[in-house]
Amino acid sequence: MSSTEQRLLEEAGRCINCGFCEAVCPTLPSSGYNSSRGARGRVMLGREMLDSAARGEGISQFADSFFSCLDCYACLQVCPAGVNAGRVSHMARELITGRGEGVPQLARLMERMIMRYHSIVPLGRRASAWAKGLNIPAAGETLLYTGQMYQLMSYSSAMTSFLHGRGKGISRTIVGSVLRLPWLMRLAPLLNDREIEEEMGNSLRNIATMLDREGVKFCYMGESEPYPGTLMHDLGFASSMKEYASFVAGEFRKRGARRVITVDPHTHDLLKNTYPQLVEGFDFEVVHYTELLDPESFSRGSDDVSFHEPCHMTRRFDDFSAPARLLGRVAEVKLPDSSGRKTHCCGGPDELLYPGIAGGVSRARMKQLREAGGRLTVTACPVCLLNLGREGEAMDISDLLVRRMKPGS
Amino acid sequence: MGLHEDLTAIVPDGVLSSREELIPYSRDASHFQGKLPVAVVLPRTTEQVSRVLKYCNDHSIRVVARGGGTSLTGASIAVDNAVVMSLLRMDSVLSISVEDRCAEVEAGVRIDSLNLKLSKLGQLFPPDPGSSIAATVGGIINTNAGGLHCVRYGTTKDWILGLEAVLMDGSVLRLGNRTLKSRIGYDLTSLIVGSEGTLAVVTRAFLKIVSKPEEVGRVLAFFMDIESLGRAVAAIKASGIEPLTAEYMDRMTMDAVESTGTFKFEVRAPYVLLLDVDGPGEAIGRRLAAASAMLSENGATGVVSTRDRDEMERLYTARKGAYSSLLKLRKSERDAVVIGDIVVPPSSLPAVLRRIGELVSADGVRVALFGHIGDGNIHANIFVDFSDSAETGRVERFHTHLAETALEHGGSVSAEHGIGIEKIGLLRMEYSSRHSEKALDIMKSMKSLFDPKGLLNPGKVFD
Repeated sequence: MSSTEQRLLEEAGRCINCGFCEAVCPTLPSSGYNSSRGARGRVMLGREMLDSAARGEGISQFADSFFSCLDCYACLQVCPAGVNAGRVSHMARELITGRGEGVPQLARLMERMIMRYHSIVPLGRRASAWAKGLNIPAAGETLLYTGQMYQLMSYSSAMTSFLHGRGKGISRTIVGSVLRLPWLMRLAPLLNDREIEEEMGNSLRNIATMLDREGVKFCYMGESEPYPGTLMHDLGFASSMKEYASFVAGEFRKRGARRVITVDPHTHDLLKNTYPQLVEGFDFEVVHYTELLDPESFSRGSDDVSFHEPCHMTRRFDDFSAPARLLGRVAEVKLPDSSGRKTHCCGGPDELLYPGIAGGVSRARMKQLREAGGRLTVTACPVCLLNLGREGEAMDISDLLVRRMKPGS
Repeated sequence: MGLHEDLTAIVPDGVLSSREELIPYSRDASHFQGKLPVAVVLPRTTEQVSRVLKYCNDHSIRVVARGGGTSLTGASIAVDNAVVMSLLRMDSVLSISVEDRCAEVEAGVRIDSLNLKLSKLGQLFPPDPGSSIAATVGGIINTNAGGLHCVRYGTTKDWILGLEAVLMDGSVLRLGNRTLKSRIGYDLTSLIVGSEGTLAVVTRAFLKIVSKPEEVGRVLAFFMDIESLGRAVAAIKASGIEPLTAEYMDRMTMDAVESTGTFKFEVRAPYVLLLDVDGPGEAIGRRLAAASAMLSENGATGVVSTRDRDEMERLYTARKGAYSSLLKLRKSERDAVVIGDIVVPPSSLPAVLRRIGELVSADGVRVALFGHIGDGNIHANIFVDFSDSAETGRVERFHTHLAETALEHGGSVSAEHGIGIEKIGLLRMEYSSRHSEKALDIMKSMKSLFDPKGLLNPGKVFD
């Protein structure tokens, strides 16, 4: 038995099927209450998959259950036995990708793109268009690392539609060609949504502006900045991810970086919690940009907002309160019933492979945010922003903060 | 057409049939391994429920209805060649009337979700099983579940005004009413409550609701012996303080809870009592102080009280998850936990708890004790490796002795978890001890009136 199989057995073996996790798993209602798409079902199927593998049988039939998990860790918050169904799914995905059986074609495509182009979409100059005119140096001790997360959002919707064969003139043959010939994804920039690109670019400029006004000196890698590999890690491509993480860390070193400033919770979580396990000697200081902003630099406005706390912010760290603290400083903040460690996922992680489930989850979350009573929804993650924004008006926290930064700060 | 196609024609996009999709429905929260269902159907409406049941009845196909799948006695596991009907898609709170003190809800609404909605109106649906986060209205009605609030509010049956239920032949019955009073012949509503899915499929319910307690305070009192704890609870109740909850845990349960990181107990003692008192804001402090003083006077070696909401919630969550937490203390993954669920008159508790201690030693079993001590309900959680025949024999013996002890003191073998598969023999024992075996015959006759072919949840409650 491999170490991943052993760890999966240990995690799943502690479960006694009480069903508490299923009650909070966002993908269960969104999948029409199909229990194989819920946390308890995934843990049960994790054990089944190991049994199948031990019997020498195929395991591809289990793939949908595990690949549809959002990794949001809502399950862990309520499990009295401390079982993490999200980790079960992650380890199951690692086994599936390791054996090469049942790996969704889109997942393979993403792995190939990241390994070949260091991004999901070869963005070229578009990746750094937001920084034009800001004169940020290309090397230095402190690196502002966007990880292309904001930049990629403008391709997300159209790319998902395209890869699922939806849209005028998109045939299965065309999609099949892309899946077989990943270099065709170099044409993906044609799928860009200019409005979202503008919006996301503004958020990045706001972040850079605020850091600058706080006196933080930083550099930026520009269009050669690599994607952090988040999706490849989430999809369970463990060996590729290990290799890729070393590459990214090497790029940081080439720029002379000692400290890395992250701008989104996925990258922050990955660099803080996963990279040190993957890259020997990963000794960079990793900080989120909101941790460098002094609340005293901001003044209160009349905004009345519902705050969506991203899962990777509230559930992957014991205390990650800087965004909430800043937001509370500038606006009247209303939290939905599911907040803090009990926050509800935006559905984003399922967008590429299971857009139907992702849509159901984001609709459910937006309903909760509206019921919280804020006039506007604010979040601190580009993935959440994009997914919630499809269901109603949503704003990135940086856009609100920059408006309330005191003159002279 | 085949079964899958026929069911799909009734419930489009609501039928599961691949092995991977069916596996999660083969088990519930009990230690029983059920069979793989032949299909799972997820209806959205009462009409779909009716048509599916009629189809299955016409084709003599067994049906097991399922809510949150939280049964601890195997009541909701799939049986051979059965269709599992999950009611989770029927999850609407249809109306709440504070004036009428009534909520009309579909069967798949989870208890905590319902209470979240009610709390915004200052209201409460009191039944509060440990599994309330996952348990559904339909599930707790069929189980007649109890929980932490029973000492004040009683069990689920006390909170059901009326039901919509579908018989196996597809007939839809609307029983009871949304009114607090309703005398319309035999009380079929009450008959269905606690019937464990063997008589009808509950699709909708009129629930009685009450105003939420204004303020709640929580006391933790630690004891060196269980009899003192039992006497302290009796003293509290005799004093006129009506606790909202009165729960206890033994050392092993506390260790299990602490091992999950949910809660850390400030005092290390063999037993702890968790007592909630409520009242208006201006009185709650005084009531907490009075309860604390009384517990100290009655043998508590340490008393801690709190009104901090976060701390209270963590403690309540810890208690509700006690059963699952115990699984961390299994010696191996083969170990299961059989739950004794006896109830005795609270006045008998000190004697019964002492006797249980003797039985644990005499029968040589590993047992964690916790329960709703305020209403006399004791959960004896017995660790067992079913592959070890000697241990299995010891556990069965202890479980029987436990039931006999309850009966000797005027109690019952099953308080709130129901009969399911696990307690079929104990149910027989209880009626036999009362020389009332005929009651079981009457129940079986009733079952055949509701479900002549015996297709609804067969093998549960009776052989």
